[in-house]
Amino acid sequence: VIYLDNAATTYPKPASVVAAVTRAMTEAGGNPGRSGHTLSMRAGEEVYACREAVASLYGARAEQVVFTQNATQALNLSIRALAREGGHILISDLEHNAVRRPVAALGRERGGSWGIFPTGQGDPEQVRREIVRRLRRNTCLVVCTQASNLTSHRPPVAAIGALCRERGIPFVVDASQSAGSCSADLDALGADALCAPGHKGLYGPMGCGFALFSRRYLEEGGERLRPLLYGGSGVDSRPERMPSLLPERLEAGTLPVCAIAGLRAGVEMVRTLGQDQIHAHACGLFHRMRQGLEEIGGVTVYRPDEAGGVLLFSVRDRESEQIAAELDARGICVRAGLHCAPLAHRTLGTPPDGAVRISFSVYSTEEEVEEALAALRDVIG
Amino acid sequence: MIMKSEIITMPTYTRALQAKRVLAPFALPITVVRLSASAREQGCSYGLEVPASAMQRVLTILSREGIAYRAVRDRESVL
Repeated sequence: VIYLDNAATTYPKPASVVAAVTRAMTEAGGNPGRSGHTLSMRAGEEVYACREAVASLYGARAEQVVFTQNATQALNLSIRALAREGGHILISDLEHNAVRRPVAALGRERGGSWGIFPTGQGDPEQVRREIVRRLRRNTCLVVCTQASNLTSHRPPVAAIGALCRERGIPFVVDASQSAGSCSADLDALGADALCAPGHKGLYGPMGCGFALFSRRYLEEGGERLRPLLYGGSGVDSRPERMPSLLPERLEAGTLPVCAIAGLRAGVEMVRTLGQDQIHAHACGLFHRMRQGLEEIGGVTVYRPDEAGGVLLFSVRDRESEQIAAELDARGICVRAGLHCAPLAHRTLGTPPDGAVRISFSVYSTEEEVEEALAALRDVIG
Repeated sequence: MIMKSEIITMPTYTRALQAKRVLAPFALPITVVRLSASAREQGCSYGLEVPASAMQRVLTILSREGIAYRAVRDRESVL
């Protein structure tokens, strides 16, 4: 099998990740932060070590890392924690449903409103102007992806963050497709929260993601942040309210220690390889794949000049799902359809049934690209 | 000789681990401990067991690093 669906989840996982999961399961099987015995403490150390590893990617402190089940939960948590009652929220025109749906739901539930700003070609000044034009007196939150999940386009999130800081508006960054291949400092991004899954570019197992909150919420005690989940936190159990300090305030319930241990190993691999080098590897594969696709008649590659780990294309008069199914029959795994991002598909102008997405990992090779191209010529040609 | 130790009660488990990490370079025998029920007004909590002789130094380091703690208690009263 040639796996080119790494934007959905990376596969295979590094051997170090598999080993870390096994080790956590066999040697640190207690519940972290719940007891005083050896196995609970070992599990707690595993979790804390992963907080440190994740924080180190973004110039943050371990206490800023809030573990969640996945990026979707992290985004729901961050959006709900930071948005004001009845406020107005702006999201980019490239957002995934993990942003669009919680924002729309919040509008319905809390009587707020929301709007979309265009990212265009990614010119920072242009994007800034588009946002400013749409700001309202009650705009209480801006959300933008750091990298599209459809193409390798990266909106100018640092410029958006700077604008939000000037205006005192909280800013959430969706790093679902950028974590692991895009170096960033949380403070430099101007983000109040950055959300990511553990199982994509950070090579951890499925079942763990995180929201990284700005240092200011450590200093202020975190009480402004409304939890998404309420329940056991392992400390201060008597009061009905959640603890005020991060990360416990936002981490009700038992953490997925094994997935977290695996995520730590994945992050360490990413740090060893280097995020810029990982991106450069993907760019090389992207260029070859794009070149090969453009030689096939009737193929449209979206944003072909922006290289990276994700390539989106459609074929004239062919359904994307049909192409993906025919590739699967030839042992090639890709993803077709709307990729849970109908808003972004509309922005790109793909056909109504969506498009085909090819996405690379550090394990993808030039040989696999050539094999996939041969299969595509067979399927399309 | 038995070394006398005291307990720094911490607001959360994560802050206890953070403090332990920050103090690690100083090679002090510090452990994270779960406090007894009688010591926990708000319910379950954790602390740092610290040699009494090093307490002042540890508190200075925690303050310098901005790590909040709740109180310093006798070991016998909280474990």
